[in-house]
Amino acid sequence: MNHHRIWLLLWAEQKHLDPARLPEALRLAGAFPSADDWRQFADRLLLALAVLALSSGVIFFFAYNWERLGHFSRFALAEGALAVALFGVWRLGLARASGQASLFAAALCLGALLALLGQTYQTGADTWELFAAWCALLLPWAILGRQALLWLFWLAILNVALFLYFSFFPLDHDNWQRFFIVNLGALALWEGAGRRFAELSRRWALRLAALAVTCCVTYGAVLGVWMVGEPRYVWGGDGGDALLIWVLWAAGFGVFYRYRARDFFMLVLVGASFLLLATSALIRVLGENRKLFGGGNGTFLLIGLLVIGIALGAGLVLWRIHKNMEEEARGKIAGESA
Amino acid sequence: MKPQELWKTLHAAGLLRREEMPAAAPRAPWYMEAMLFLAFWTGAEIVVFAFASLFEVDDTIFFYSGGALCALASWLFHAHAKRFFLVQLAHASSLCGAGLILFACAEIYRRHEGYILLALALLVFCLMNNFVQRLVATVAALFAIAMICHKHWGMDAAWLWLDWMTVGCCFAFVLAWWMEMKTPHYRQSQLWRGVGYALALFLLGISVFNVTGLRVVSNLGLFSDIWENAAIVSLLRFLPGLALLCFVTLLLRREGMALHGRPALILMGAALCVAFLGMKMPHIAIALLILVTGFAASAPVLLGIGAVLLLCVFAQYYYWLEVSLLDKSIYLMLTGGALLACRLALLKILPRPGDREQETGDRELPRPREAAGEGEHE
Repeated sequence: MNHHRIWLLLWAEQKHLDPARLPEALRLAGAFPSADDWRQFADRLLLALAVLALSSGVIFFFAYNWERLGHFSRFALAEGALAVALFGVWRLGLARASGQASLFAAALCLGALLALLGQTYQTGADTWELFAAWCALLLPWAILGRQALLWLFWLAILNVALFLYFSFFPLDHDNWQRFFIVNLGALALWEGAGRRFAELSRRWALRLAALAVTCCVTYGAVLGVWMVGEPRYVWGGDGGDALLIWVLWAAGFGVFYRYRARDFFMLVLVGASFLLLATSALIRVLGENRKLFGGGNGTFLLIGLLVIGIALGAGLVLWRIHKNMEEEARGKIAGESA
Repeated sequence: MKPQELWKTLHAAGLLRREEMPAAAPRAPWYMEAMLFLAFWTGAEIVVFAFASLFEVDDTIFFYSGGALCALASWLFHAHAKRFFLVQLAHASSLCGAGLILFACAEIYRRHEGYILLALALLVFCLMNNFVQRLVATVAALFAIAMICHKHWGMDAAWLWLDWMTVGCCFAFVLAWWMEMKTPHYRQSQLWRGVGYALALFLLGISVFNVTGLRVVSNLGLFSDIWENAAIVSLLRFLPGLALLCFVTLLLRREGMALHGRPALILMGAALCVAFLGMKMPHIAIALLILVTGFAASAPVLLGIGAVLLLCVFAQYYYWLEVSLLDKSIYLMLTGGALLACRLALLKILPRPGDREQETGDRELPRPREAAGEGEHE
């Protein structure tokens, strides 16, 4: 990988490695892809491009012939595409990459079919119902497929369905809590499933899901900062519950990902959320008392300096945690090799 | 593979003298540095704004203050590059200083903001021995070039000079990553990598700019002669594919393959086909260039940028008005079929070595971990 090559270059610069033997070291470290790696890359790239091209071609065809096709022709095409994708899944099997690609293509075709259904039979259903139905129908496939990308896609559709639902039926400012609970629940289940199934333990997918959770709770907490002390009729709430939820989330995330799952990225998410929250609080508190600090300009200067100071402090804490986690990991490797 | 494991492997092969790896300067992961960088950038912008509004002094004071902060940052990057927090302080100092200098110069030399930004970006690039600073400086330089082009040729020709910039960035991208892969020096590698990533982000930004519909209108109609117009447009769409062809040729030489041999000719022919395809499907060659470069340089972030760019290309193609949706759908389905045929041909010509069960070439995905106490099911 790229970081192997970077280490080797660094060691050569530090004179630990003879620069004349650098090409040999690069070969040994596998710093560049081998012939077999290139073959596999070409294979995957051709497959991905083919799936994209075929899926896009189908979608474009629908878009063009929308007005001209009769109902039954439209459904025949949509269901035919879905059937071909599902046949691919059955024939190739979910253990293969091409089978997984077929499953993802089938998920997209399912959405197209549901959109066609809603378009053709105008039952007065709302858009959120389309996404909710897509979500419900896709769930068994996501469970069987055990594909991280498909689960992320499913979660995205679920969030879109919720967003559209709340657009149609606006409740109150606490909608972010519902998004937070749904995404947090999904993340918790995914972490549990990842311990059992290797395909679901890919950290990049879990981190994206955690990013969604962080966005929800941070949004709520920032709103809460501006709600504290305001009359209830202004915002519909007092902000205290949002801040309490943030504290509980930060504590839970911190403990779980520091001591159990040991994923530093999640701790950085907590740090970033804290920085945003602290900045909002600073702007509110100092803004309301700006006369004490020489007016608007002096307040801005103080806010800017404090933001830099808080970022330094948060960075120091995260740095210390990172070093401790690295030392623990090194101690674990040394113990295993002994 | 962790650094300690790599060190042991190399030591066992007799490439390293020391058995124990020396304690390396601890480094934070890239996402932590990105988070702190954004926080410092926000704080620095607020400070610059407040400072500029609060102190009604001569612009030269801002200029010299900014210069002093940049000099401090440069010293910190050179002398204390291994100290994480001093590096973060240097980031904040550099951002503040650059902001003050830009503000001062923009007040003194009005209507030359593009040139000022370009000069400042080049200065930061040369003085700051830091990957992130060089990446930001390169992005700022590209933005400055766009500002200068806009000032000289205006929005009417924006689509033309933007396309020429894109072509230039493609070739610069190939050069940057080729130099990065070739250099045996760590510092030069850092320098080229910063430039390479900045160019990749710029190319991604151009495609997203297209997808959001701000550039739906094609370049037709800029020139009075319709054939000249069509030729220029076709050339601008073909050239990124030529950059891909150049990179493929360089890669073949790196791998030691004879350029006149059949495999090399097939690969160069495929790159040329992509170049011609780019005339009908804009930016596909750029997406594939970034993907191939990311894999060749073993850079996962670049692969991610390439994948996002590829999705943007397909989304953009829907809004491309030169061809009807029916024709586009047929081209795509035929292309998809041809790609699947190519894949089958590849699997026949180059089967996975020593693997009879996987003759089709699909790698088995990892099996789920068995729960404790359960035996094998089959």
